Amino acid sequence: MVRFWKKLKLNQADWIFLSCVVLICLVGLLNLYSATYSLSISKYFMSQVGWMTLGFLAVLVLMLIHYHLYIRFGYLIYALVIGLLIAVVFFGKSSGGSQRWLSLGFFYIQPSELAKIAVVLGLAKYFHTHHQKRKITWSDLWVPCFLLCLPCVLIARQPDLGTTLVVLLTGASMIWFIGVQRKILISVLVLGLISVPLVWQFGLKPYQKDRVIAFLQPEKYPDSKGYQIIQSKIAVGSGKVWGKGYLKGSQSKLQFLPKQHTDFIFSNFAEEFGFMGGLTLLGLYLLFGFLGLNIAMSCKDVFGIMVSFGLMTTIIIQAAINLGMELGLLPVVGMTLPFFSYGGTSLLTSFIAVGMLMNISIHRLTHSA
Amino acid sequence: MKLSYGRTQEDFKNTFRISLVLLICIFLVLATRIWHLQIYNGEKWFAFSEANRIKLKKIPAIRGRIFDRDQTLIAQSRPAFDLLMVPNKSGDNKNVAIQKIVDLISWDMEEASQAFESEKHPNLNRSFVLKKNLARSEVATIKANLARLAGFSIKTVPTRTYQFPDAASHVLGRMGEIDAKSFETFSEGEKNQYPLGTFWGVSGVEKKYEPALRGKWGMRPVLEDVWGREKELPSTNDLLSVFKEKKAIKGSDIHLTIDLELQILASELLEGKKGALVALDPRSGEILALESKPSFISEYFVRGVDRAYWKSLIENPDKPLYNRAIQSAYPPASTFKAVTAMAGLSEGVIGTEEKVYCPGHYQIGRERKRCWKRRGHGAVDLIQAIAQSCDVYFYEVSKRLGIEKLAMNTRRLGFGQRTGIDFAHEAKGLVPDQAWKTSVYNEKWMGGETLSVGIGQGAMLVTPLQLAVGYAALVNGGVLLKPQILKEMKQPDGKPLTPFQRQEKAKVSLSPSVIEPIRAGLEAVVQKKGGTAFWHANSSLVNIAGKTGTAQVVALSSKKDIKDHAWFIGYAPSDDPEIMVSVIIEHGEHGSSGASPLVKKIIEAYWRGKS
Repeated sequence: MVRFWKKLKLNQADWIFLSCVVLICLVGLLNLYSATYSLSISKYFMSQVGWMTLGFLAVLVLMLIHYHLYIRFGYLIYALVIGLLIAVVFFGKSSGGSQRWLSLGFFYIQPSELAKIAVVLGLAKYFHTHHQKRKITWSDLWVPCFLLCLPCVLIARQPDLGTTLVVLLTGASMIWFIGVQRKILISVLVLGLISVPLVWQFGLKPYQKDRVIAFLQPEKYPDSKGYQIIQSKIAVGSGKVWGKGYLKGSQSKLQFLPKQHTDFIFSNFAEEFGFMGGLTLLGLYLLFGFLGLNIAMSCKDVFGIMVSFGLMTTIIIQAAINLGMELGLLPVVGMTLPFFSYGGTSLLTSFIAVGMLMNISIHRLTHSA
Repeated sequence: MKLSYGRTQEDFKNTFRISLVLLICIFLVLATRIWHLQIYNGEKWFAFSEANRIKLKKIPAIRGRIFDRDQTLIAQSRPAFDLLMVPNKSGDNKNVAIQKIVDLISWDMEEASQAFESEKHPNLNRSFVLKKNLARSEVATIKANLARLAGFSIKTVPTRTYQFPDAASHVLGRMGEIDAKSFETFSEGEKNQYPLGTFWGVSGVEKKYEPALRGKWGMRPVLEDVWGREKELPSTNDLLSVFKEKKAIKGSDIHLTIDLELQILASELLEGKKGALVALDPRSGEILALESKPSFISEYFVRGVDRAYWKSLIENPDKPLYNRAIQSAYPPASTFKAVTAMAGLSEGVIGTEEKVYCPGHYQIGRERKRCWKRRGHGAVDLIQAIAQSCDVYFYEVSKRLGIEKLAMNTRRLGFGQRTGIDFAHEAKGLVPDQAWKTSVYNEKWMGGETLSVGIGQGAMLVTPLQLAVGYAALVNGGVLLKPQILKEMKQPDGKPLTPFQRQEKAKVSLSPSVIEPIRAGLEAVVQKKGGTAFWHANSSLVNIAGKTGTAQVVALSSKKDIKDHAWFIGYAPSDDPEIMVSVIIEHGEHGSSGASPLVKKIIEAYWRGKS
């Protein structure tokens, strides 16, 4: 028995990393209780507690699964998720103008959430098995770009702009992380700049354009989107240094803040805990990113490095976009704050990522096969 | 240290460093922004949150009106009044406050407490509806005493109302509350237009033209204090000035093709009966009247239907919610003989002059089929056969045609397919043939069945609307029209949106040598002595033509005394038809006595209205 436990080498795991996640979750629960105080505590709070429990169980299980297993099954997992995304096209449940959910008989899942992890595994496996001593050239880019773009197209047509963005940015940073030629980097940047007006003209739906316009000049476009941004700014700003106090945020309690328990959850937190609270939470996410990067860098094989870097990046990108949006720095896209916002599937996805990272942290000191 | 496939950790050192810098940069930007909002501008935003709680209040749009073809108002919007209560403003003892109201409007205290308790009160500073649909007198009493009724107010809700409660309910349809299921499928913009709990059309014209009738909801910024109490708008407020009021836009007015006088007459004629009536203009396809009885009262649905009334409707075996004119398909019986005649003449299997001898029965194989007149009609030609509705003559024509030719010609007149009036649940009817029998019963078609179909019995099914549309094509030179209910749509300022346009679904080639004898026969039915409807439908006012029908009802159980369904399809003036009327009376016994008098009255009323 003792040998079995020793073999798992749990003492080598990065427990500080997990503690950081636990801390964010606890603060998140505290805040969710407050955010749903005037809605329905039992409905949201208890459900969130349930999902978090499930999430931590997932972390414990995934911690015990050696991540080298994913080398073997990387493409299979990727293909499975692509299959689910295609199934959404045909059998997906529509709600609120988009088609994102898939019924699995007794519960619903959101395959686009799983795609975040599947893309990381698929790309990591590709870079692991393809020898590339040199920097990546144009001709090396075809396969990873295909692996990345296929799920993005499927998610974008649901439509789910937020998740598309996360998957795309995660995949792009992984390709960048493995090391690409400088001319590719510059070309992509230039191409991106050129495509901005084209995407604006042909790629965006009218309501998405509205959001961008509302973001640029919320005071001039006082429709519902401008309203959302202004109310969020009022909520955050009115918290001042120390905040209004727990359960005393009037913006959310009196339901001025739309989506106060999902996309705009941080506004509720910043209103009640002020600059000090906001900075502390920001610090926790920074610590998460730093420790995630640390796991990646202490890993002994390309697969482990790429997976841990990718998973950390996914979560940090979501956090950065969500916070940027709530603080009025970015246009409104549907995006939750990991470990903080209400919502089952996205929470579970984040925990799966944490579980995988924890396992990688266990084996980082061992030499790989 | 060597990694797999020749990579070393050294290779990642550079990108690792850049990642770290990027990570820190992102969080520095976010931290700076929080500082900017909370410390640098904190006082300003705090002031906004304290004093300026702006809510965008939705202003409901006034629903468009509905008129008949002669600009008679059928439906409009009226204000309904709800009593609102803000619990925290009405004093410490809620019961005392409610008692005051109860005393004023003679309401039952128990009921009032019930209304208060059943609310969940998520926010005691928010108003909720204590009593819906106040009477005018109650509104007056409460308004007069509003000064001493702290926490109470009256809210005006635009509500649909119908000018003629008994008429056209199946055409107008019903209003209903938006259900959570439909709401879920809405986009963000639609959710603003259709907040949960508002009413929209769920059937008939109200549903079909919902997007036009609806109008556009507006938005009004209102100020609320810290505790959710609404305040007056100070015009100097700088944040508020950016929220401009968006006025609600009234819905468009709908002008129907319906002639309300005929519609009301139809309703009166069908009162107490089970059946349907459709009147339309065979030249344009405009529906002049469409009635089905028993029916319901649309007005009872405008603010949520009373549970007892709803129960009485859905439990009624006669199905009052069912629009028999378009949702019910019946065997057309003898009214179908004109169609069989058209098929026979078009295919050239019978001549106009040719006579068929009717001994009162017809032998096919070992089966002997009867004519309704047991003594027989003797030798009859086409015109006589239609006038006297001789079964044997049409048995012979059907036999010569065979089912495939008969069915094909029947479909040319639009039978067996939806007319396209585009109300929900329109029935298709049925034109049986070999393919149909194979697919349903997997059996071979029998010759005797062709004879039954030829006189409109057997599996043949039509809706009253289909029959009128098919006959219209017969008498208007072969134009199969799409029946329409919308004459014109107008913006609230009177600007016309979509003028009426006749829509042809198909052109059926019918030569005069086919049409003329059939029309002569249909005229003889009503205008000649010996015609089946001469005694009941001949009019001194205008020349009517038409065809009777008596559909056999197969008794399902021991009820042997079930009467047949009575049909009549008629039009006038017979030489240049302007109006086509089809009527079915369930268990009305004979087409001549049970149905044709109704058609006569509708046509006479139409004719009188013209002059």
